[in-house]
Amino acid sequence: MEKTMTEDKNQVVGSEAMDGQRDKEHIREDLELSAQLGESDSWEDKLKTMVRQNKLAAFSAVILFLIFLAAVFAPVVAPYDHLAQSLTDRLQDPSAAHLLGTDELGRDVLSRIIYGARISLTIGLVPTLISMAIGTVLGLCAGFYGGKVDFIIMRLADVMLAFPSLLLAMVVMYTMGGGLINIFIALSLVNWAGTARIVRSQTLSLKEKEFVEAARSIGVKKWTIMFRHILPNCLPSLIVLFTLNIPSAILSEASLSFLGIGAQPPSASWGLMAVRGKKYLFSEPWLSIAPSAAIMIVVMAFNFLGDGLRDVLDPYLKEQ
Amino acid sequence: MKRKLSLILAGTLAFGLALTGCGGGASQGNEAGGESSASASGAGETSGSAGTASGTDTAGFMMDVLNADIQTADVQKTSKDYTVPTNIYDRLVEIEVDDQGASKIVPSLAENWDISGDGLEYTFHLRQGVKFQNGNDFTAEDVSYTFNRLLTVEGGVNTELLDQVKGAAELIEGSADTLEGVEVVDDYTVKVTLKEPFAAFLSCLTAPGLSIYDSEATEAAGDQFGMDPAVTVGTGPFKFVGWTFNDQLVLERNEDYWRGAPQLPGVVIKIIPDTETQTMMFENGELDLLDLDFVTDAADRFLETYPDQIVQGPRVGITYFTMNFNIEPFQEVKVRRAVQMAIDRQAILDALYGGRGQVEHGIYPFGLIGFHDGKSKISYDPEGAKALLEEAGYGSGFTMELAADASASDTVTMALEIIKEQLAAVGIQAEIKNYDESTWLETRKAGELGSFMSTWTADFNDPENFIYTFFGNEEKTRIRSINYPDTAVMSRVSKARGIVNEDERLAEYQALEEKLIHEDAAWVPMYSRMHLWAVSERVQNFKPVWSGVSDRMYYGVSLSE
Amino acid sequence: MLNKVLKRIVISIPVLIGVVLAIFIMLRIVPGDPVTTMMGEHVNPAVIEKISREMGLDQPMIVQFFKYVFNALRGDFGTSYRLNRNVTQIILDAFPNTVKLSLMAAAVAWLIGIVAGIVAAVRQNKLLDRMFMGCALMGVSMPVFMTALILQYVFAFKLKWFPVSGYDSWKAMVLPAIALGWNSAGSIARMTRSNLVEVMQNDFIRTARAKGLREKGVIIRHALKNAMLPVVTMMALQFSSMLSGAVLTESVFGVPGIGRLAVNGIETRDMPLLQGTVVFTTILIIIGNLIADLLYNVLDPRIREGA
Repeated sequence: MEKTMTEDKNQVVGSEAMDGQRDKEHIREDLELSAQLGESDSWEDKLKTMVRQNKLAAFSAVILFLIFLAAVFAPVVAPYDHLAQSLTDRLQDPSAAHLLGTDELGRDVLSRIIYGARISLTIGLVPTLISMAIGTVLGLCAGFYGGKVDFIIMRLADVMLAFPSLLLAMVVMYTMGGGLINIFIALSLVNWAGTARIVRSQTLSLKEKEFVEAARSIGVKKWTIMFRHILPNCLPSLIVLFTLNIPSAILSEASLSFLGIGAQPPSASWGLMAVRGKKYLFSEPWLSIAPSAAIMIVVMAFNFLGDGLRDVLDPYLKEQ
Repeated sequence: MKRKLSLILAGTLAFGLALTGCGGGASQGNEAGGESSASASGAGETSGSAGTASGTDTAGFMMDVLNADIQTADVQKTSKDYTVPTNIYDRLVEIEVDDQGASKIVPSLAENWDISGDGLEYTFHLRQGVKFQNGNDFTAEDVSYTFNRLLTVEGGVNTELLDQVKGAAELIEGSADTLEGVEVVDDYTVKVTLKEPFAAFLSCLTAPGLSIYDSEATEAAGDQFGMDPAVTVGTGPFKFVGWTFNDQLVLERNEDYWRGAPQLPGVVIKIIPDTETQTMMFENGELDLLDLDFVTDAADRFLETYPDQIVQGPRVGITYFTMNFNIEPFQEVKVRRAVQMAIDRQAILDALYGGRGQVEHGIYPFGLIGFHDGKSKISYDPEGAKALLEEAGYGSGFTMELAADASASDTVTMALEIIKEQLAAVGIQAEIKNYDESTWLETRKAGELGSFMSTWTADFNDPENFIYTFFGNEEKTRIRSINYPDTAVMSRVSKARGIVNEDERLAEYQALEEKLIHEDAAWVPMYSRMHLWAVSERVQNFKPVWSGVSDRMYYGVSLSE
Repeated sequence: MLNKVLKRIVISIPVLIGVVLAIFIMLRIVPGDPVTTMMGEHVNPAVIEKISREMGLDQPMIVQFFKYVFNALRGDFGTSYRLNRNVTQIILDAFPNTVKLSLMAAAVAWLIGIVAGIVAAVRQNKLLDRMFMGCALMGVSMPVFMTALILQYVFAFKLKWFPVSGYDSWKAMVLPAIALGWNSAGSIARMTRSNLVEVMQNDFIRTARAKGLREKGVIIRHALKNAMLPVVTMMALQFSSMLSGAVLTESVFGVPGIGRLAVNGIETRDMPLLQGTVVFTTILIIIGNLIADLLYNVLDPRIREGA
């Protein structure tokens, strides 16, 4: 019982506004400590623990898995072609033929949401992967090499973290124009600094560990130490961070879509569908409610999963 | 130091605890509702009594709304923010529309005018006894000042309106100090000389951009003219009294207006970017006037819910779809004609605008001088289009680009999505390519843009404003990315501007329209639309102004109580 | 203490310069000629050239940058392309509205966050815990514009408790404040909950309980006091996310604040306005972080002892 009591400690939520650094600082402190305490159980055990302890997290994982499957197999799952227009059947109420009705061009809303999952999940995944890759490499370098390298990288990170992130994304989109690729770039640019900070602090403590000292003394190359020895020990925290950065990217894209600088039609992200659909709020509310609900489910699921993973991957909390 | 901080801390904590205490009672329900119920009574009372930021008591004013704030009320420096200028200034002549939609030019600050036989000299006899809102008399000097300023003012964007006046080019380039073609004959007579006959000149003078300014006040105001309401004066029915950026514009009745004081005490124009918010405000009685052009999606519902509160008039503008002659395979007339036939324009108009408007078949839209129903029609005929493509050697189709401007409205983007599907039905693979606004504009100006859809709305009521803009000469057709190649036709377009006989001129314009659109299939005319407004129950006599743009004239409107 | 403050301030300066430089470069690589875009259709090419020259756009970027920084130091962010007004003045006019909105939103965030956090902590892993945390989380899980729209629809349009838009009375500000504040409530709720849970395991709470104090009294008097320390310091930092969220909230509710200016800057491609708004907002955030850091250092006994 004691263990699960602290499951929600200082959680970052994927907020529209991409919350301030205080949250990140806290995660950082926790993760720093967790790194110091080292590994214990195997991955499998940990996941089992999570499923046992936290039903909500397990349930969220199942939901996300199903959505992911639906996105991958969209052509099979979707009842209609998501781009097929039928101007005579526009704005139809939900019915047996169209479970969520049709949109302003007579396209099946359910099919569009299923296909939209591809785009929204991609928007969640790709920039998160890119920004975390950048952040991880820079964080490793900063922590491992220290000195000037550390100073320069961390000042750069300070600059990035000082921006209100949505505004920064807006500026990037202003410069480069809308479209999927540019969204990836904008959101990657915005988010790497947080990861870099966390990885750096973990690297700083790991670098003093015996196994690193040992590897060093037998002449293992620096890059090998960084990526073979230090990186794997950062993985638990990176995974937690990963599940928390995805929803924030999805929501950021929705905000950018609202401002007309997000995804561009006909590729419909959930955010864009909600923005376009909200014009019909009074007569055909499902057009905006359905994609918004999709966003909400995914964002909440990622958050609950993140909570769960955090409990089991975070030895600091477990040992308490 | 420590002590102070602990005090701050204690204070903050107390605040936190107070909140906790308050929330405790409502903790079984949802917090949002819990808090809001504290102020549950009478929120709808705010209408008609908006802020006092301008220092003017706005009680009883009409409430209007715009979705973006204006840049300036100096109409020489804007090509779109005409709402305030329309109401605070007057022009030499105005356009009047009768119930049938036919329009004519009527006297305003110019009581009458003579035009010389060669169509080069316009002599205006000005109305006497008209005063600017600051008390200054309106005289010929003000007209001359206004014309000169239009061409020389820093940031002026309407220089084209006076391009045809003698000496305009010299004044812009700086080789002349004053506009040669404008002569003050006496206090109430001004003579304008053109460099060549230009039949649309009078129509041109009705453009909001040619509003008449007070020479003294405007000069004194410098760059604050149009920015600071206090120094922005005209002869118009309303005074500009307040402007809080991104919030509201306030106009107040000009008691001394020469046509008689307006019935409305004033107008508050709220700036609300979100169209759903606008809709809810209107339905809650927070607005008296709603331009449904901003909220087309709500128009269907409004027509049902408030059938008696909808006012409409033609939006004099043509929506067109281009085909760049320099891009393969659009140099082929059969391909262009096939595209004309492949697009189901009625279906698009029905789907996106509830059919409010009409499918067009030429260059001059419904409501414009020169529009006539007798011209050839383009019919939707996908089979015929396929056959034409076959003949042209493109039976297996081809790929083309639909260039979307990111700043365009959602409906334009939707139209492109529909066009893409319709073209696919005849075997043409169209891809939508999204451009940001400036790239779109630059590519278009370079003449290299793929097909796009856009709308040209009238600056003034004359076919010249349409045909000359797109097919006037090589440069004009290039910067629209049409690249129409027939120079003989274009020189006819250019020459037609100078035909003094009105009937002959219109006949020539109509012949040119036939040639360009039906013989050469130079673009796909899409549709022209109706402009719908919703008015609250207390608004009387609101009429859409003749104009392509979304400005409104508050003179003549009244509120019943 | 004073030394530490000074040190933090000195560290902030290069960050600030970096921010300005980054924004400056990003906005300068925009494709297209800003003047052409801004002037529209009816203008003569000669005029465009003349204006570019007047705005100094023909000078090398480095010259433009130093000019900008020099002017910004004097509080002059240049002149807006579109509005032909001093950007500093425009920002200062809008600033009070954003502050008002943010403060009210912070109050809402605290109200929802702390209440939900306390209830959740007391009823750990029970239904009420999940319900309250879920409620607090909902605000961050939906796109802000949808939250705003739904609030408007229910409380202004259907129930008519509040006006649909506006900012000139506290009543008009309630809905915008909830839309914006709810968005931050989730993090506050989680922090409150976890800190409270942690503190409640401490010995002194157990002692208090053992003494037979009523549960509610224990929580409020002892646990909360301790648990709130880090939450209090979040306040200044929340301001950063508030400012980001305000961009959308202000647009939906028609509040003439700083967020609207950023949107204006994007929509009308008004570079000086966008630049000024972002730089100004960033300065605010850096100051906010500075205050939060110092506050945290002072309030948190562990850090204070360590320092």
